[in-house]
Amino acid sequence: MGAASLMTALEVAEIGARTVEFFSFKYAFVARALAASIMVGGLCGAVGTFLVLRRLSLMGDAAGHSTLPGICVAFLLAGSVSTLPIMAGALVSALLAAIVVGVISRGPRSRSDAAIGIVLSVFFGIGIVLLSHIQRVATTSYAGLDAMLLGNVAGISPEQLTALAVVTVVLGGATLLFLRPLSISTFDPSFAASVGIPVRAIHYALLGALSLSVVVSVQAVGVVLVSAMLIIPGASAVYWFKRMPGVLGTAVGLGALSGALGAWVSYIFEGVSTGPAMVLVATTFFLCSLGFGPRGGLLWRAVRRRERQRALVARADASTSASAYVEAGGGL
Amino acid sequence: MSEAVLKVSGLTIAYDREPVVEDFSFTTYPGQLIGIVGPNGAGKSTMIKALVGSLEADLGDVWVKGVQGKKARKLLTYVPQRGSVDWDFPVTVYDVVKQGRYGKLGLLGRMTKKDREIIDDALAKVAMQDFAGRQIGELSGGQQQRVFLARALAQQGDIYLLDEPFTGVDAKTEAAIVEVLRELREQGACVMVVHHDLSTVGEYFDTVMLMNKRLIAMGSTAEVFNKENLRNAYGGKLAIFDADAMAVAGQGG
Amino acid sequence: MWELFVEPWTMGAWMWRGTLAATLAAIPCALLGVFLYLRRMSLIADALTHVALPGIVAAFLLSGSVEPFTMLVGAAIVGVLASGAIEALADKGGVRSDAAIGIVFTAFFSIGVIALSVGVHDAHIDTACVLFGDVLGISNDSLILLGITAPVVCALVALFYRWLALVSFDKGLAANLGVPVALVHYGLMGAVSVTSVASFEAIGAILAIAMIVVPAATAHILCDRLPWMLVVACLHGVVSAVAGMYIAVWADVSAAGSIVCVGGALYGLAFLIAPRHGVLVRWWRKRSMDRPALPATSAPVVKGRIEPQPEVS
Repeated sequence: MGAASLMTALEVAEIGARTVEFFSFKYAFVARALAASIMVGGLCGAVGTFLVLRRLSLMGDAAGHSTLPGICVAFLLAGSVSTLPIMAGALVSALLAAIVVGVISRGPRSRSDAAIGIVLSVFFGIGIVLLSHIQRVATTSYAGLDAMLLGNVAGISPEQLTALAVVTVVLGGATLLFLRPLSISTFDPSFAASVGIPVRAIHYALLGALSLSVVVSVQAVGVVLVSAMLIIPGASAVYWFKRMPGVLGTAVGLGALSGALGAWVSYIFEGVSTGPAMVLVATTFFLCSLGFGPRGGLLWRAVRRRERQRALVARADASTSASAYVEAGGGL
Repeated sequence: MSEAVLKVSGLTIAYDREPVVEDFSFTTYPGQLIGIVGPNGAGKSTMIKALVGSLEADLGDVWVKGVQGKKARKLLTYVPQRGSVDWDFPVTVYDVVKQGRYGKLGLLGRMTKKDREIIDDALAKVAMQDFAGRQIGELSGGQQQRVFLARALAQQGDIYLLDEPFTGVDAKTEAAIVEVLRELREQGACVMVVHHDLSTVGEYFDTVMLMNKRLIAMGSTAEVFNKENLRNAYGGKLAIFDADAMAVAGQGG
Repeated sequence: MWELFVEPWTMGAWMWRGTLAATLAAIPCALLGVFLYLRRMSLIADALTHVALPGIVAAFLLSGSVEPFTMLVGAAIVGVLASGAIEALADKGGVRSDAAIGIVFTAFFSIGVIALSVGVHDAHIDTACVLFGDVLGISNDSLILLGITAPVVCALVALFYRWLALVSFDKGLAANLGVPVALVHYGLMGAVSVTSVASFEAIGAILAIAMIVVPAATAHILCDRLPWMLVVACLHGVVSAVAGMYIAVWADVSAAGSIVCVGGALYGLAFLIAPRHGVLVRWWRKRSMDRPALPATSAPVVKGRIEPQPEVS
């Protein structure tokens, strides 16, 4: 299906029809899917902003991948795919991963980026081993691999949606409540510590919030791409605002919008999973922000650079060199 | 009068609207031991970095022995500030000094006896021969500085640029390094050192460059350290530097 | 007991083929991984392995063939493009480097997945296989690919060792001495991409990260010199591969996953009991030094050893 064939009027009409179908909530699962996508986008956008600003972006990737062993263990213990045990397993696994990253980072000859890489891949490896075991042994099969890896928001159950909504409200409320200490500890940790803000506790709380967000978002975006929804909206937002309320608001907005549009695209085009669709929408927003955002966007930077060059040359021409230019004699 | 080794004209570097180094011009010759001084934020490190190509300059030209561009940079031997090295890296003292020979050896060249002699010689000059097998993370600050100086010596260039080699270093090491630099000068090299301590400038260096974004003065300590130049460089800190200026001007190059 | 170790080799050629494939994948991953690790670029491995998927898809879409060589070239090109995009974002775009990695690889991966599901209908590219590998059923093509890639990577690392070591340790000196720093960097990225693709059928994309990062991290704890670090990393990779295969056969679980788990366990061992830097070893040494039986000495204590005061002349 190439771009050229999209141009035929017939196809355009079809897209139009499906869009109307989508937004008219003809089917309950579509309404759920849309709600879930928006919440996932907004939630991940919010939590991820703090990760991006604290240079913890790839912890999101680690958290996503490390839910797998927990999910498998929960499945083996509970014997079913019901929401609560699966989510609990995923959460424990993700939290454990965060702790292990910390332990390794403080260990001998450590590098924090390698710590994330080690935990991400080893936890996922454990998960794969368990998954392969399940596929041989279990009588009920776990839902498609594709859905878990890449997301399938249309398949989201009412329980999962409820869990997502609860987490969104709780974390959203907590973020607003603690916005000041969160912001200060993000931008200036040493100052925050000096005024009595519990920087360590905030760090662990953030990792906990990350694990929670990842666990409820995996159904929509999948394990591999949940990190994208955490990173991209936050990374885009910094091109628009300097202070936290603006950055956070923009990230949430862009995230939610990416979620909605991604779900829509996924609905229209069969065979396109929601995860990749949401990510590509978010990436488009990012590129626009990178190009045109007022704070550090490429367009403005180019303009400022040209102004600066002009100013420097003017200064060099206009000034009669005030410095004493003494040429030292050769040798001694 | 010998040929100029380094000629800089109109060097200007700016991060934003305000230039950090402005309209900087000077010429240096073989056999000079030059101290570059100025207040914090004067652009000393920035200027050096631009010369060796770590930074892009906005305006200006640099000639090294009459050559410009990449070829010119290869003729400069740069010893950066100690901060940016990875002390965990699996190299020993000997390995680090050996890196100084890579320029001549290229990718596949075998190490000859001459290369080994140069490395041992460099280590001996900085008194680090006994540490040759140590991983660099096991060294003290002064020892680390000496290893990087040895690497520079092993390169066997004749134009040296050192960025604050005496920061965080014990007195014995400082004296040792000064000795090495003096020897280099005797051999005809041109050595430029970004220096932070006004009180030792006259004692260590024969030529001084006083700068604060611009070059304020260049010459012997007696010529450069007068009240007016110091005022231009250090601005409002005049009261403190009055006494120092007299003391410094009293020492001579 | 001995039969347990011997039996799998007699059950069919697949054990031989699988172990060979895993070993051939492990070695170049370990070698390249050491340099990535030292340059604090371990997570670029994450990006490059994920990005290999769109690389294969692009190669297929553009050339119409599933020739292994074409896929390698496609992966190498896309890998270099991706790392270029990451650099560009980080240097010129003002994006933090870790965020840049995350953005680029997820975007590329998404494009690859969508292109795969939408544009590729009857090719033998299977998402699960690409991501997790299928070492026990490895095809001849893949074995040949690995058989070429592994020695070529080893040869390149040996050839360019000085440049790689220098650029990893001190980019400034490298540039000063005239080493083409950018070439070395993108050469490394290209090599990692190619190795990822060659390793796909053996261990899959996502687990290739483990084969790249974990051996290097383990070797760093154990070694003080770079050549040894390269040797130990390879050993770690090979031991993980062989032990992992055994576990996969005995427990009837994923081979790729088992290999990664063994690798992780080896890292954990080194973390705890490495002779000089292991956490438990250090703790025990510290405990034994607090005992009053030790003679008082004015010598400084450096990293858990008592050193005679060096003569500073």
